[in-house]
Amino acid sequence: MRVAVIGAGVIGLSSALCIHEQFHGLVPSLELEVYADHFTPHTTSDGAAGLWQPYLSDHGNLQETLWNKETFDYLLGHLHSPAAKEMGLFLISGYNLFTEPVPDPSWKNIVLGFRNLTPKELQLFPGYSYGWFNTALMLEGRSYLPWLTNRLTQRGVKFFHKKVESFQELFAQGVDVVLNCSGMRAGDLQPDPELQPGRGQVIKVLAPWVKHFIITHDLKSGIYNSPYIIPGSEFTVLGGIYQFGNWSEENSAKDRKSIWDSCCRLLPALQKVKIVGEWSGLRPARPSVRLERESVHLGNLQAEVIHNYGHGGFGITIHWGCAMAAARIFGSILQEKKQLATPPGPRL
Amino acid sequence: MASPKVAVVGAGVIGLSTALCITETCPSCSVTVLSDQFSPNTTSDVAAGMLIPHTYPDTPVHRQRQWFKETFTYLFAISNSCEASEAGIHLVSGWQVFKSTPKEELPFWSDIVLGFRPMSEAELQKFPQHQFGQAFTTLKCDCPPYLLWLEKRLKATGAQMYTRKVADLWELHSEYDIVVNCTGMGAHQLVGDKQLFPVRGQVLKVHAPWVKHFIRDGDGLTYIYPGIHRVTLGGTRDKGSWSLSPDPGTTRDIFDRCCSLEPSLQGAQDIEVKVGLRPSRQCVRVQREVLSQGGVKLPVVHNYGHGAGGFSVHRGTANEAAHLVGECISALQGSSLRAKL
Repeated sequence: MRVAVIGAGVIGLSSALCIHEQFHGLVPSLELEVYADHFTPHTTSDGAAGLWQPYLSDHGNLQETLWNKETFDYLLGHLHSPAAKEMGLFLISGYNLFTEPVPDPSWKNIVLGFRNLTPKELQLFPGYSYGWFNTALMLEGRSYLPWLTNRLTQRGVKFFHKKVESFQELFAQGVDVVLNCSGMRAGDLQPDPELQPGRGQVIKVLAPWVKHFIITHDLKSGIYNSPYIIPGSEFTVLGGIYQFGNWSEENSAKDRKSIWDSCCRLLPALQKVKIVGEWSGLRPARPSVRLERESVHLGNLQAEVIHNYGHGGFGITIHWGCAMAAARIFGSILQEKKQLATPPGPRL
Repeated sequence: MASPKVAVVGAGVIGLSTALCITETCPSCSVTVLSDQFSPNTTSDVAAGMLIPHTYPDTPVHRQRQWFKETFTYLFAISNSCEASEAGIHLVSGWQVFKSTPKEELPFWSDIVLGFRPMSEAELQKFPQHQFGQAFTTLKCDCPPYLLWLEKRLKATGAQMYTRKVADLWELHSEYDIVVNCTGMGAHQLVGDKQLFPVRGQVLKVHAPWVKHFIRDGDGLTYIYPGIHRVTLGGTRDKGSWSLSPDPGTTRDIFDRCCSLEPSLQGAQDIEVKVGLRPSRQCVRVQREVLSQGGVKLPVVHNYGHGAGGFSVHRGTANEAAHLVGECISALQGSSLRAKL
């Protein structure tokens, strides 16, 4: 049973690990391979700050909220494990700021200690009259992806540095199931007009006295088009750009100025910091995550694709819930092919 | 008295902040700081500088509250300004956890810090050995940056600073009109205050930049305080011990206790061990006194004995001491007027 994962960002690697953990003991013939043209530290996941936080509203998409919760609980369970530091996993608290009252988010009971900001706290943020405080998690891609890669390598999963041009290419080699975790470039494998870039740009600075994330929201300009400051373990990420439909991965001077000016207004002490880097990336935005099975008929053979892409700006936030869902789909496929009596885990 | 000459003895957080307050309330004063130690070699440099008050048994609570409130308000404004990083002042959130629910669930300072509330069940799961906890956001003064920033502010006012060991306050009477005694533990020797006693604290300062929250056991013995570059792990409260030497067994014990509160500290690097003697007293001595020898008088203002709570109340006691200096000046001007009549 040959399984090929396309994509080595957080989605590809975590889906691969989840499937290997659940099935390698049950399916002796399982061979797992990861194909990607970019590996850490050059993936979209590496550029993200790594903060676990969904968008403000799930627009009634309860499935995504459940996957977010599953991810948070999974990570929280690992917080005290010896692997946490290597995974780039740690707790972080901070502020979400608004210029007017807003309804509580879908994730208020997933995070820890969610509450509204007090008037005294709001004094810290002139121009903002409403906000939330909560404790969430950081999962830094630059640590998590290497950690996932190590776990997979230890398990004998093979990695191939190549750009896959089509699903057929892999099926022709004898692959039985393809996991399509190709993120922004999924459209190259199969056209998907719903998948569009949500371009982001960030400035990385040294500001070690900042211990909280600060995310502002401008309901008119939309998510992540308002300044945010996210302190990591080595540097702090300044951002606030979301350009729908912009495919450019070049750093824009105009965006840099906008991020810099707005973040310095938010936290005046930032004016004196040292800038250590800059990065642009494309959030693989979609109205909802595409997580579904697609059967492909090749002559009298049936091959399977499990799509798992379109996680926008919340890939890290939702990754494990999606990996588990992808693994469940894989289990059904195995059952049908009579490779497995019953799939592991609870039926959902 | 055109330009009263004020000597402030001591250059820890109390000495420097008191000197600064004096320059603010009495711009015509000429202020000089004298100390045998300056940052990074003061007791203040060992402390984490967290704004979590210590309770003084013999100081009225309303006075402690006032001191804390003034200090918090003063630092809050700095943390919100472009000087925050230079001054070493930053906000930090975290948890104070208790193995058994404390008698007093709401400390006197709960409405002064930010967002104070009991921890939820979900939050307490992170601390399986603890039954109860409080979550809040407070401020931290990192040293040396904060002391260096105070020194810079002082120099800008024209105040002078000299390294000098003062063996006896009286030796200053010919050069200065008023002496302010901010000598911390040094007051034991300098003014023979037997009510002042050391409470020895050993701490570890480690590199663990992923630790973004403070964690403090309500017993005050075990704490994790993340600073700008290092995390302070503590500690000890060895009452009556004068030893400034780090004890290796204690280092191991502190590390183990902190790791049990925050397991990820196992990965901490570059462990530095420091020791400081908290200048402890049943109540902080903020008081005027007049020394006299052979008809010559020397007004003294004491501001020492802050024990474990120096940073938490420093600005409040500095304000009070500066006010007392003002009273000394009025008294001197009054008596010099009378002398003329």
